[in-house]
Amino acid sequence: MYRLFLAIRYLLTRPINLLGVAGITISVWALVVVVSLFSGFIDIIERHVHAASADIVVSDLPSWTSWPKLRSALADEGNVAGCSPRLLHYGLLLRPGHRPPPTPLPGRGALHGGDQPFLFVLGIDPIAEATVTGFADWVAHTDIPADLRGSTPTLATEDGVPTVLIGLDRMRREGLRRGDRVVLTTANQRSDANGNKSAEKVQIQLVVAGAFKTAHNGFDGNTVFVADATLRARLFPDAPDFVQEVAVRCHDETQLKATADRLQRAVVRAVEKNQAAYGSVETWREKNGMFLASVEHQRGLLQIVLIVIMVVAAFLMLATLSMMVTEKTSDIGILTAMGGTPSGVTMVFLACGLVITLVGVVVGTIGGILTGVYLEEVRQGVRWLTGIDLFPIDVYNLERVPCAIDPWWLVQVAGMAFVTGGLVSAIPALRAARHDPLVSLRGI
Amino acid sequence: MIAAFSPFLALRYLLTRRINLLGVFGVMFAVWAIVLVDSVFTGFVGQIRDDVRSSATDLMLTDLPHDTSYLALRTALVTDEDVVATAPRLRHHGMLQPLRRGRQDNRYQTSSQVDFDHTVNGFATMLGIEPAEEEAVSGLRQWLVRGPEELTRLYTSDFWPSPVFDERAPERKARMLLPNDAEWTARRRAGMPTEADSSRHRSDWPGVVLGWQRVRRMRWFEPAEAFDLLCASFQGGEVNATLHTHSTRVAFAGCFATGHRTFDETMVLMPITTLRSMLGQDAKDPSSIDIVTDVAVRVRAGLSSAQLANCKRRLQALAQAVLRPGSAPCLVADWEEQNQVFLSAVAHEQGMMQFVLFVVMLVAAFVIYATLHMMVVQKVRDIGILAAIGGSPRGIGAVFLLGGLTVAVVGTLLGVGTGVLSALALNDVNDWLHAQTGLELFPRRLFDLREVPCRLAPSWIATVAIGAVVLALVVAFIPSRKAARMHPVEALSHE
Amino acid sequence: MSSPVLQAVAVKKHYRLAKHEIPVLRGIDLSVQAGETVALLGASGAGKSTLLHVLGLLDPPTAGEVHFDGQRVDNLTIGQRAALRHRHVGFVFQFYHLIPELTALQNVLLARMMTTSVWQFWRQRKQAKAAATALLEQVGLGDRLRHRPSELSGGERQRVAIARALLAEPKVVLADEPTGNLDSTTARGVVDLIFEIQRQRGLAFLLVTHDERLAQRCHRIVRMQDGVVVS
Repeated sequence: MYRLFLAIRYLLTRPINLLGVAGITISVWALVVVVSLFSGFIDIIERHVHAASADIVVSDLPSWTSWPKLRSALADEGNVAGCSPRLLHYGLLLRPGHRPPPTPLPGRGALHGGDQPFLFVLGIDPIAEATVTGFADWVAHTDIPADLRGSTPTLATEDGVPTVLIGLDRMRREGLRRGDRVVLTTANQRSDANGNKSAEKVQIQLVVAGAFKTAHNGFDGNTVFVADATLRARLFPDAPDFVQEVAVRCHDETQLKATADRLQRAVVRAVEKNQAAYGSVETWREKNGMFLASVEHQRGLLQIVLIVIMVVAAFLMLATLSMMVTEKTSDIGILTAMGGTPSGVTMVFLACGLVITLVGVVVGTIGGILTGVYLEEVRQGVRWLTGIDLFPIDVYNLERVPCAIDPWWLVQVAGMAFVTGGLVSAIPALRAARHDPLVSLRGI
Repeated sequence: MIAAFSPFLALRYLLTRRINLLGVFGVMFAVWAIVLVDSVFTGFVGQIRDDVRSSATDLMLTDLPHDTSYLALRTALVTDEDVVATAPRLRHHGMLQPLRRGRQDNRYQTSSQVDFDHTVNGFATMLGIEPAEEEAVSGLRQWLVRGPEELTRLYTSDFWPSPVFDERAPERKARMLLPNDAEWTARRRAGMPTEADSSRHRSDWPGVVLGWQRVRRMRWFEPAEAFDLLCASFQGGEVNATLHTHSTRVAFAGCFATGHRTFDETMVLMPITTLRSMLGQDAKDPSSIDIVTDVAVRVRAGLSSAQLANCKRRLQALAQAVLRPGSAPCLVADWEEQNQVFLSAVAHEQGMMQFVLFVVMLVAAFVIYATLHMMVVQKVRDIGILAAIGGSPRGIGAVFLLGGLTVAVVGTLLGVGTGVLSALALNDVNDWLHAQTGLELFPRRLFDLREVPCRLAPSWIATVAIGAVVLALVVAFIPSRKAARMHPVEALSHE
Repeated sequence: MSSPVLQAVAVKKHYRLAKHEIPVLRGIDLSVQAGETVALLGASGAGKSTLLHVLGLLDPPTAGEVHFDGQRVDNLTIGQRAALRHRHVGFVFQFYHLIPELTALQNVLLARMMTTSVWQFWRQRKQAKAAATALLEQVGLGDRLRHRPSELSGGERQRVAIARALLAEPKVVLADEPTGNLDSTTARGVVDLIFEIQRQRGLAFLLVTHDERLAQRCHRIVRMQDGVVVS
């Protein structure tokens, strides 16, 4: 008992130990705040990407793919809750009479695209799509004003003209309204009798059915929806069963990777030809892997740099504790003279170190969580004071600075702090135990 | 004046007290980390900026109204004394349709992946250039050297350099035509009808130079492989412009690389005459005009930023005077303005890192404070003695201030030394780690880099070093003032 | 031998302890002539050491004046007092007060470094070293120059302290129980040394002690009790 008592006495009577606490606090705080910010950022990006994706997508399908056959292959998998066929093409969406500006210079265009007439055209079956992705919600998003909202059922033809759903931001920027005529210009590859190929120009007249909005601006800006029949009629008139992509929804979202692996085998079996494997099955995370990986890698780099703070804080604690041992040499003598064992003396100073770490971790974690929760206010404060914008939320189109506090990360940080704190206090503590009590008492 | 005893005692105290080594290590470690991390970061950002710079021209006249004629602008711009050369540029959105046989068909366009890398789909920003003039204003020659280099690095076998800009005949060069036998071979390979003998064939497909990443994704390795370019454009007046589509058969005529990712991914370099024809301004048609969307300008070398700003203003006025009255103002952009959005996204990433590094330095300064504070506490009696034998408060304070200064200077020097050394050895360490453990601190593949870029900025190192020393002096001032203000008699009787 | 080199005029000194004013010196008049040896005798707590500190300008008086060579010095700035202390007053303490990190020679040399600048000291370092060595030889420590305080006996440490006090060639030496920590044989040797040097150099010498026999060797004895001079 005397050990803890002495340890706390020593700490309380020596304000310099606050510095050790401050070091640990700052490093824990910085680790919590910066990593939470990045985790929050990654979370939001993942949420946005996921919100605009199907759980699993089957793509790279060959031209002989038959939808009924593929569907039954997919339906055999127990985790599959639903699947929806898609045709996919690209093209230039232009509005007659409205000349668009030339493409922006490569360094002046929007980072996530969406400001050019070029876009992806997804040919879908609206009913099936709604069971697999958030399609029904995208069309009925609350941000869409009533006069831009598509009618239900969507993507039916209007006066014999096929309809198109366009991202809300693109609609607004180009001043499009429901019922406007647009032209999709694209190309289709044609072969002549000799097998020589050429590009055939295709123009599809469309009428705007309304707007859609997902959480993912990049998706909205670069995608439009039409009925799959529209694309099939113009691009694949002689392939009524052909699909290019299948969106799959799963019952159990935690099993996506395993499900995707099983589906991959099923798909290969379903479309195989001449012993060659076709088709690829990817989860939404794999499909956007490159983009997510680059943000996660930034978080990793910052973690390394943040650990540098922890190391410097360890130096700080080592300094204060060593000096405490030096200064308390006579006390060590008295303790030993009173019958304290070397291990007892070690424990006193080890306890000092651990109490410092504990206080630092607690204060740092609480401070970190508070800063994390009020990060947007902090950012505005810092910008107001110094003009420095710590996190450019406009670039990423967010309303506030994101922040996700991961309890597991907090535990890791605390563990890291305690390991460093323990190691660092062990050095002076062991030195104290080796002290010759007589030397201590003589006080030289 | 500093009394002789201050530095003498400061040194003695430091040398006899090992605890001060901690202060030295703390500062050293912090400075090391800052120098290393920032040199890598500056390297990343610097490399990106360099690549962006090399993809841009000195100045670019842009935001022109549609159907602007180049000739009048050129005549106006070259009257300025600072303008060395100009070149026409024509940008338009188009699509690229390969004519491949076999199972790979359409593969590149059938992905709904929401990323913005347009090399996997058919989208292209067609950039019409006039080869002879372009060479004088941009780094075209270097781009064409760098493109094959990048591909050679990936595929070990040498990638062929584009021959189209070495063409002697001006007519052929303007259309970026490949040598006759190259096109003949390609036609043969594709099974297209052709002359029996290559010497009788005359190249006909305009050449198109693609970014190296697009070449990599499409796996186009043979010269003169044919593909179709498509575009849609509005032709005619302001009110009753009609939508036309146009497609042209072109030949793969080489690859380029500027290093600017967006540029290399989206741009397709092609003869401006071909693009003009696609947009309804065929040179054979007497009523056609030499339309441009931009004019690239090279200015005299060595202009100061003030001179450049003046030049921009003058050129803007010259160009505006030529445009149709009532046109929206055109823009003369320097290389940074040409890449405004891209560069600002890059710059934002540095703020967070610098904030973290500042915290590192702050904690290191705490270490100095702690050791000095302890020194003062332990040396109270010495302070009394010094006062008794005639030390002035200033001199006594200086003992501790000099102690802190020495710790900071030694720590900073060691930190800068190790920082510079490890920055220089960074790539070797990274390679070694990768080879030994498979762990890569800086995954170069993610950023498409040959090596971890590492740039030691002397000004930044000087800033860090001076900052560290000043910060240490500030924190050392507190204990040294405490020492200076100590009452000699109380100090003497201190236990 | 008639003008006082050091003079206290109605010196009072109070200390504050918590909220209480504790008077330590209650009006002391004392003068020390050049070349004179004075013993301050009194029980502990009589204020002897405090008077010594006030006279040595370590501690300013609460009231009254201190004169040095006929000039008032208690109202000088801290820096001026430090310089004056360095040039004209040498201190010898009961607990020697040497700096443990320095050798005997360095401890003595330190007295020379107090007011000279780095550059000045560097130019005259040989001279200074020679003077310090000579002094240490004079106090009988010629063979102990490179020893640290922890390697010296109590008597030897006090001799180093004396040499340090003398290096700046002061007019006055103030000694606070210089033998208080020494056994009687060692003490006699140290005292003999002090008086010998005092005679050689004609120093004024103020000695705080409660050793009656030691006091008898001085020209004059001043007895203090409860902060006043009794006789």
